[in-house]
Amino acid sequence: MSIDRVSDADLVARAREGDAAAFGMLVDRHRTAVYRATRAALGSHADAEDAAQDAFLAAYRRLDSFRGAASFKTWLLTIAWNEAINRRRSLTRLWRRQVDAKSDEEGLDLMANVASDGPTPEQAASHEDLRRGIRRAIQALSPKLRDVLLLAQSGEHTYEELGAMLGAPTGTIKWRVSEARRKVKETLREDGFCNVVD
Amino acid sequence: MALEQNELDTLIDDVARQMTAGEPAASFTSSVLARLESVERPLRSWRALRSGRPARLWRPALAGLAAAAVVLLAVFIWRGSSRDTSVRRPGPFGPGIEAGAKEPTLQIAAQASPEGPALQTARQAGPKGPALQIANRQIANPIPSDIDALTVPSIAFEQLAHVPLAPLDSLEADPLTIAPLTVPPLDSGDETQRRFE
Repeated sequence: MSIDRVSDADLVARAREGDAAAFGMLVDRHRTAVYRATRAALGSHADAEDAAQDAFLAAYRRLDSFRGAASFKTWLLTIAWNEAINRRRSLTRLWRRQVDAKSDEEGLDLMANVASDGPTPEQAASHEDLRRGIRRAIQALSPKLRDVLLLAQSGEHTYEELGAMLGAPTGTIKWRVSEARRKVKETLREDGFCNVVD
Repeated sequence: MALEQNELDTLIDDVARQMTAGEPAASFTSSVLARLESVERPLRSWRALRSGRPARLWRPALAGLAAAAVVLLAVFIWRGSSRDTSVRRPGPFGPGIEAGAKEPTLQIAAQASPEGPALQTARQAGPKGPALQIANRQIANPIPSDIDALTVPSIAFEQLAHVPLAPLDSLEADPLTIAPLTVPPLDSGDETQRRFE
C-alpha cells in the first residue's frame, strides 16, 4: 500500500501502538502546515520551527486523547497554535521576534528588489515602500486580527480549520480577515500612502 | 500610483503570505523523531503499561520478575529440605544421626529394639516430642551400621549399702520465760488535747 493512501487515522492508530515510523509519516504530511501556523504566531523562523517540533511532541503525548471528532490535521494545528501562543507570551521570545522581524524585512526587501525587474526604479521604490508599509500595518494589528490574516493567507489552512484552531465560528474568522484588511488600509492612509483609494 | 481595492487586497494578502512563507528544515522530521526517542520512551512505556496494551518494553521486566520469583521459591524449598536432610546426613556418629546423636534419648532408642521400652516411652511422649521423631527415623533407617553390631557390655556397679540411721536423741528445749508486760494507764483527756493542739 502506498504511503499516500494510508489515512491519517490509520497512521495515528499505528503510532499509538508505538510505531515511530507511522508518526514520522504524520510529521512529514503536516509539518508545513504546522510550521506556517507557528510562524504566523511567532514571526521568526527559528522560533516557529522550535514551536512546531514541540507541537509534534505534545501531539504524540496526547495521541490517546485524539477521538477523531475533528480531522487529525485540525487537532494537530490546535495543539501547534496553543504551543505557539504560549511561546509568544514569553517576553524573551517577543524580543527575539522583533529582532528577527527586522532582519526578515530586510531579506524580504532584498528579494523583492531582485525579483522586480519590470518597473522603473521609481515605481519599484514606490511599490516597495507600499509593501513595507503594509507589513508594518499588519504587525500593528491586534493579535486577533493579525493572527487570522496571517493564518488565512498562509495557504495551508481553511476557514473551518482556523475556526477550530482559534475556537471561533467560521463566520467570525471571515469577518476578522476582512476587518484586518480594512485596518491595514486605514493605517496606510494614515501613514500617507495617498494612492490607497477607498 | 493609485490602487484599486481588489489590487490592494491582493497586495495585502501577498505581503501576509510572505510573512508566513517558508518551510521547516529538511531535518525537521528526523529531529522530531530523535526527540521522541530520547525524551518520550519512559512516557510511552508507562502509558502502555497503564493502558494494559502489550508493549515490548515492559515484557522483559515482567519476565525478569517472574524468574526472580521462581528462584526465590526454589531457594525457600531448598532451604526447607536441607533442614530435614541435615538430620539424616551421615555424621561422625553413624548414618542417620548427626544433630540428635548427643541426646541420651536417641542413644537409648538406638540401642533398644523396636519393641523396647525407649521407643514405647518415646511414643508416649506425643507426636511433637523430639525423642519420638529421632527414634522413628532410626527405626525407618534400614541401612545396617557398625553401631548395630556393637554389643553393650553390662555395667557392673556395687550394690549400695543401706545403712540405717541411728535413732535420734530427744531434743531438749529450754522453757521460754516471758517477762510480764507493764502497761501504764493512759491519761486520755490531756493526751488527746495535746495531739489536736
